[in-house]
Amino acid sequence: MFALRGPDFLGLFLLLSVAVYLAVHLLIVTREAAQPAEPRIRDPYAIAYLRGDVRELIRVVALSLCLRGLLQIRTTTFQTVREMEIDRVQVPIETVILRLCRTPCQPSALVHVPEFESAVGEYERELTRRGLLAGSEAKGRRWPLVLAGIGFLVLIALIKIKVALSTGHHNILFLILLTGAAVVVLMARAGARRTYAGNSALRNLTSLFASLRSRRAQKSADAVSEAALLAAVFGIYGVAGLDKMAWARMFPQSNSSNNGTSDSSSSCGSGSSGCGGGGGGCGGCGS
Amino acid sequence: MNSPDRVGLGWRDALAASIYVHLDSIDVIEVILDDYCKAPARQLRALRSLGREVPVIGHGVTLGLASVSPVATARVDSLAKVVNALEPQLWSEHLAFVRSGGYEIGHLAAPPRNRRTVEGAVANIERVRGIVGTSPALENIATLIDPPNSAMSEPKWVGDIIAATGVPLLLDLHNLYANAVNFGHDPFEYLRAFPLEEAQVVHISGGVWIEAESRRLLDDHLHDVPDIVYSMLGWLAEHCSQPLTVILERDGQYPQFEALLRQLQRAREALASGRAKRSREAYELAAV
Repeated sequence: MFALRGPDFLGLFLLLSVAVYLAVHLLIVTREAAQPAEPRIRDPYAIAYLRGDVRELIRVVALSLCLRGLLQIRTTTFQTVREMEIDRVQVPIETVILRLCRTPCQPSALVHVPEFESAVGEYERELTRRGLLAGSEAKGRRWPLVLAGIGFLVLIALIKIKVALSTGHHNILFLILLTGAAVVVLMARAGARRTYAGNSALRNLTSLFASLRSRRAQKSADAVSEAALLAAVFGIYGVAGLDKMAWARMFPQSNSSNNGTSDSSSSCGSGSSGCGGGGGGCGGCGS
Repeated sequence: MNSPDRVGLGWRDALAASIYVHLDSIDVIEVILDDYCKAPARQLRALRSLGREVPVIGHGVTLGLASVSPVATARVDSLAKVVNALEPQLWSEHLAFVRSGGYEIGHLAAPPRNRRTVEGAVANIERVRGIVGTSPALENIATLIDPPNSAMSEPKWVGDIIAATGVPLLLDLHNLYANAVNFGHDPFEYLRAFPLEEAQVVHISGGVWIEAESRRLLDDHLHDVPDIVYSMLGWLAEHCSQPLTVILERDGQYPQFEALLRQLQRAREALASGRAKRSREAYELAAV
């Protein structure tokens, strides 16, 4: 094997990396499948947070509030419609969003507000407790497998590099890059956000409501719950009858991969630009 | 005291999300098994996951048990796969035939009520029991015409099949009501003639009056449950001691989901009222 020529060895190493990844993945899945979990999940907001992240949660909560006439879209900001309704809303994250959006507020500005982080933390803790999100304990159980896989691949790469150098071949850059990529992919597997039970719960929900994906949301009390559920399972753009352009403006594609981390263009982010300390665009967002 | 009776409704695609978000108000879900005979494994797993949220029972519509012709093994095999995958608390089928001479009729038809069809149904049920491993509860069906060549009344015919097979009865009160009014019987007297002590599941639904040769009540599952069906449910709860699982069937022209929840609530109230009367009567009897 180590006597193979460069390109041949790289091909073999690639196959080996895929095999190691699959083996590690299968072992993680098998171990996680044996862990106790509570896959029952009915709350659309919890489903949204499980499927996506904090931005997905904001989308679904905002959709529900908008359909109920409590929140409105103003170009690229949300604004609470009737402030007197805030105290009548029972779900903490809805209350937080309505409070923060008393003055126009961009979705990306919400994520660093402590009050909002606290409300999101509830979902994180609950889903982790139920074994659907991988907390530090679950991720800790993955690491020995991942490290074993990484160790094996690095060892093979080092041996080959030693053999290559000893025979006067110095074209080892591609092997180093390939090994680096394999390590990154394996480490990403260790850090995967959802557990096996979390993925199963989502798959089941997707299958259960697959036929509803294109149903038109009606503006009735139940249709709001129904739309929130469908948005949670399939994403807000799965809810028919939605002004997709308006929602796309609220959640620009370029931000979709930031997983709730900072957004420098936000109007009330961590004091960078826009309204900063609560003066202009979003008022109480930062308070 | 918690009631042993349960009230729920049929799982339909159009209602699925509404049902899911209102599971706290629904005791049990009835799934049409035939809808999943060709479903991929992931869909069956999803449906099974629903069973972790709420008790699930199954309902078949295409076996055509009440026939002198044997039910095709392939058809029963297919249903057995779904029953085994879902593991519903119980499952049911109609006392009807749905095909004849190689033709699919497309709806549930009432066979002649005579000894031959009793024997045919019993043989089919034994066959199904052998393949599926469990027996279905059997449901009385509605018919707009009195089946020709019948030698028995419907309650007697149903009762004989139930007695010969030992399976539970699924009493469809709107079917029963429709047959009673369409053929000149008092609904409550007609109900009394059925083997009520074998009833485990009850269907309630609505229908519409149509003008055929004479005025007939058509059980279409497209309308709200009429008041008299709730009265019959209350009467049934008063006159039988076993727990009942009541399923509201709705197959189209869906109202706001709140309206369906109100119908479930009315069913609960009818059951509670019947049970209360039964308790009162038992108490008075004991006092005497």
